[in-house]
Parts: sequence; structure tokens; C-alpha cells
Amino acid sequence: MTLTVCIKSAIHQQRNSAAAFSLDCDFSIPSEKTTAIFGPSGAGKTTLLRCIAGLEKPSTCLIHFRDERWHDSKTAYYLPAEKRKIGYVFQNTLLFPHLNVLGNLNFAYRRRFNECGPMPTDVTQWFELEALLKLKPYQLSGGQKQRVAIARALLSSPDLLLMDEPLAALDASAKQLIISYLDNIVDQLNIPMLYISHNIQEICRLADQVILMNNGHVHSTGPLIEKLTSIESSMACDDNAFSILLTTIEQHDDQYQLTKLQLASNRALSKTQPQYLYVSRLHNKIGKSLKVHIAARDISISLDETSRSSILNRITGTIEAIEDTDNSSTILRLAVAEQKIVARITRKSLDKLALKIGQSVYIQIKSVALVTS
Amino acid sequence: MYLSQADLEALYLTLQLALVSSLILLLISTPLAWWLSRQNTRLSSFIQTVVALPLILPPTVIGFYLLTAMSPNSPLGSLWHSISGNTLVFSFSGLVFGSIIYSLPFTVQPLYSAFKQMPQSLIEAAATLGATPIDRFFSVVLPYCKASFIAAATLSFAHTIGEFGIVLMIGGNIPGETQVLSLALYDYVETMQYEQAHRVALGLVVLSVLLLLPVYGFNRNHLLSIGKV
Repeated sequence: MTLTVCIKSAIHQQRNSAAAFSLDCDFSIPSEKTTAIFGPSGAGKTTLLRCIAGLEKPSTCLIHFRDERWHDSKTAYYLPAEKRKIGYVFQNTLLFPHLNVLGNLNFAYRRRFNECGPMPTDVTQWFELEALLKLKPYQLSGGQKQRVAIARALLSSPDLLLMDEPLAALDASAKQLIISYLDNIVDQLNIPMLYISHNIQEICRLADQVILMNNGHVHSTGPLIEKLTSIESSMACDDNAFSILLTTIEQHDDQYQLTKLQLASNRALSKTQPQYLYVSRLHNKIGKSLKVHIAARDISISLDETSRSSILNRITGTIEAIEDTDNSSTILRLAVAEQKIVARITRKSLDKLALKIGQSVYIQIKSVALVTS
Repeated sequence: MYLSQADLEALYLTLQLALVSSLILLLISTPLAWWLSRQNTRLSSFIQTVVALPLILPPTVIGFYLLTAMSPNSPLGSLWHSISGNTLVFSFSGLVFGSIIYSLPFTVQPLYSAFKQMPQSLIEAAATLGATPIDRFFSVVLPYCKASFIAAATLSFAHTIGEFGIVLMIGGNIPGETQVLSLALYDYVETMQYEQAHRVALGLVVLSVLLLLPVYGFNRNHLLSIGKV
């Protein structure tokens, strides 16, 4: 069950326009999961998604989804968009202006690809659209439009859901709302999803794996946690870079209202002491696995065990890689109990401490957040 | 009686001509305007120019060429004769033919601009929801451009009613057969029956206002309903 895409082609973005965008990608990913397409603006994320949807027709292209052939330029085979059984949520929603919300939903429902999909009453309830059904798209707010657009795409009961930055134009609270809808519903309906974003927090909430793009080129694909800390990837160098660590609950401390988490490691192989992190008191059972989220800029590095500090979370690790960015900061990748952490420190500190690859250091973490999902 | 028997006959003929011509025009212009709006080649510019010619040329010029083209000796005239057994000139069919040519820009232009302005992305959205090209045309393009279709139909209808030069050249002003209202009016003026002329002229003014008023009213409502005003 995979999605295979191989495109090496210049694509004319606009009809009759001479300006071409050159896309170069060759990847194959498991298609059951939620996959994020990550990259800076202009990296070709939307163009790639449009090719997969069948809205662009690159001259050299091979696309397979599961056991279906979608596009094979060698045999001049091309399955038009309406036959690919996809749902596409556009960045600018593209609700039909001549239809009201109910009309937009019914448009999709009447043409649904699979009989077993959700009913209009289901999506109306999930996305809380009851009060909006009679309104025309121009009467809706941005967040409402986007909810209708996602509901419409789900109603067509697609085999694959493509989302082009559906939340980019929304404020933080509308974003949170829609992400939580998506999180529940996509899980429940079990629809694989390709999700474009250049916000890694968003990706972290929804995706299991990532496709990393830059300048029209897909340079790697793989599990999200791995890619977050792989220093060659643009994710580790992002301003909001962070790492995800796997932990288990070790014990609860009622006196200080804290919970002690142990970093997961393969004990049989590991000769080092187990390492711990503290978070605010949780109410989960001891032994439960949890993912925690550590922002690269919330980490500081020290060479001695400065015990007289207010920072609670201090672990040890080894520097694996050092990567300069184009500004004042440097990205470090550290190995901690067989897991990886990225840290962002200034170049000045790097020189002052004379940090080198292979060196053992103390890692002080200002804040640890739980990954909710 | 406000209008004479002959005038009523002319009115009936005028409306019949306008109705038949506009229906045929819509059928021809829709695919033509669609094709023109999706093309940007030398051929499409040339065809656009040809379509627009009736806007500039005096009707008598078009009438003269049509008369020549429809004469029983011409390829078109003889083809028509072999199919229908009638001549094109001085017949109702000839009038319909001439009206189509003459009113073509009035249907093609509004449809062309509507198709050109129609966001391609909405059509793409319909495709991703499983709508086939024909389905997309009827379920998205047609309702989205509804106002332009109504404008195109009305303009061609109204324009055919107001036609004079071409119908005179190729119709020959035969009462009951090719004499439309504008020609009847001309006859009255020529023969100095000013009272009759006034009645026919006023009738045409009222008819035109009644035709155009709902179109502009509808246009306004349609734009309001999709949030464009």
C-alpha cells in the first residue's frame, strides 16, 4: 500500500504562460498514514500536490496509488482528477459561490466515490455547521469556510485526502479548533492524508511521516521524529525547530505536583544511567508511554554540572553534528539515550565553550511540553 | 385596434425571428465562446475579429455579402436549395441566417467575458469532487455565469428585433413573410403614414424596455447573491 511519485518535468503554472517551474521528485511512501509535505514557500509543495491530484499534467511523470495507476507519461496514460477518488482541500477553500453551505456539501455527497463514507448529517455535526447550512460562502468567516471545505472533501468519501495549507489563513484559535476536528475525524475515518504546511507545530500534531521539499526537489522522506532532528533537513534549521522524545511515566510527585518521565532507551544495549525529565503532574498511569516536545531554542548547553540553577530538567548527551545557519545561531544534534535532540545556540557560545563533535555535554531544558494526541 | 392586422403580423414575425435566432445563437455561441476563452492563438484572435465585425461594419455591407452568398447560384444558396427546396434569399430562413451572423457578437461577447473571468480553480474544485467535464459545465459554469447567459440571450433577442439593414437587404420586405416591425415602420414613414409610424415606433420602444429591464434587475440580484457587490 504505497504512493509512488516520480516527476522530472517543467510545469507551466499558468495556462499559456512562459514561466515554468521545474519539479524533481522520486519517492515512494506508505499510503496508510498522514504525511506532511514540508518546505519553504516556493518549494513546489502545491505543484506536487496538484500533480498528485491530476490538476497538473507534467510531461514526465509516473504516479501510482496503491494498485491503481494514475499517471504514466511513458504509456501516455492519464487518469483525470475526477476519477482519482481524492479529496482536495484548497488553501482558499474554493466553495461554490452560487450554492449555499448545504448545496456545497450536497455537491460532494451526490458524487461521492465510496458508498460507505460519512453522511451530510455526520459532517454537519462534526464540524458544527448546523447554523451555517443556509448561508452563502461570502457570508462565512475564514474559519467557517475552511470547516465547510474540509467537510465537503470528506463527504466525497475519498481514498486519499490532499490538503494544501488549509489553516494558513486562520488565526491561532480557529487553527486549534480545526486541528482538533481533523485529528479526531481523520483517525476515525481512517483516510490517508497528504498535508502541506510550513508550520512544524501543525505537522507535529497531525503527521506520522514527512516529505521534505526545497526548490522543487524532494530531498528526503521518512518518519517525522527522525526527520525533525536530522540536521541536513530543513526542519532542524527552522526557527521553530524542535525534537520529539519518547518517554514513559516513571512516578508522580504529589508534593511538588510533578511527574517524572524516563527517556525511552533500549536497556539491553544501553550501559548509561537512565535519564529523567520532569513535567507538571499528569494523571496518566505509571508506565504509560508519552511523547514530549522540546523546542530547540529552549535548550542550553553546559560543560559542568551546574547544580545551582533553577532549571529542573538536565540530562546528558553527546554532540553528533554541528550545523551553522546563516545568522547568529548554530544547530547542534545531540544523542541522548539513543534518541536525538536538536538544540539551537549562538555561534558565540559554540566558540566560547569550544564544542566539538563527540563531546559529552549537559543539556538544560527550559520547558518540556507534551505532544497532545 | 392599436395595431393593424399587418402590424400584428409583422410583430409576430419579429418575435418569431428573434426567438429562433437567439436560441440558435446560444447553441452556437456557448461552445464558441468557451473555446475562444481557453485559447490564445493566432487562429482564435482571427476568429474573434471575424465574430466582432458586425459591430463595426454598416449592416448594408454584411447584408450585401450575405445576399451574394445566399443567391441560388452560390455554393451556400445551392446547398440550401438542395436540402430544403427553398431559396435562402427573401425567405424567413434567410432572415434567421442573417440575424445569426449579425447578432453573433452580442451573444459571444458576454459569454466570452464570463468564461474568461470564471475562476479556473472552481472548475478544478468540481473535478476533485468527482464531476466530469460535462457535469462541471452544467453544475458549476452555467450557474456561475447565469447572469451572462441571460444577458447574452436578451441582447441577441433585442438586437434581432432592432435589426434593419440586413433584413432589408436579404429579406426584401415581403409583408407576412419577411416584413418585420422595423421594416413596417420604414414603410409607414416612406408613405407618410405618420400616425401608424408613431404607433409602431412606440411599440418597439416599450417592447425593448420590457425586455431589458428584467435583465439588468436580474444581474444585480445575481451579483448580490454570490457576494460580488
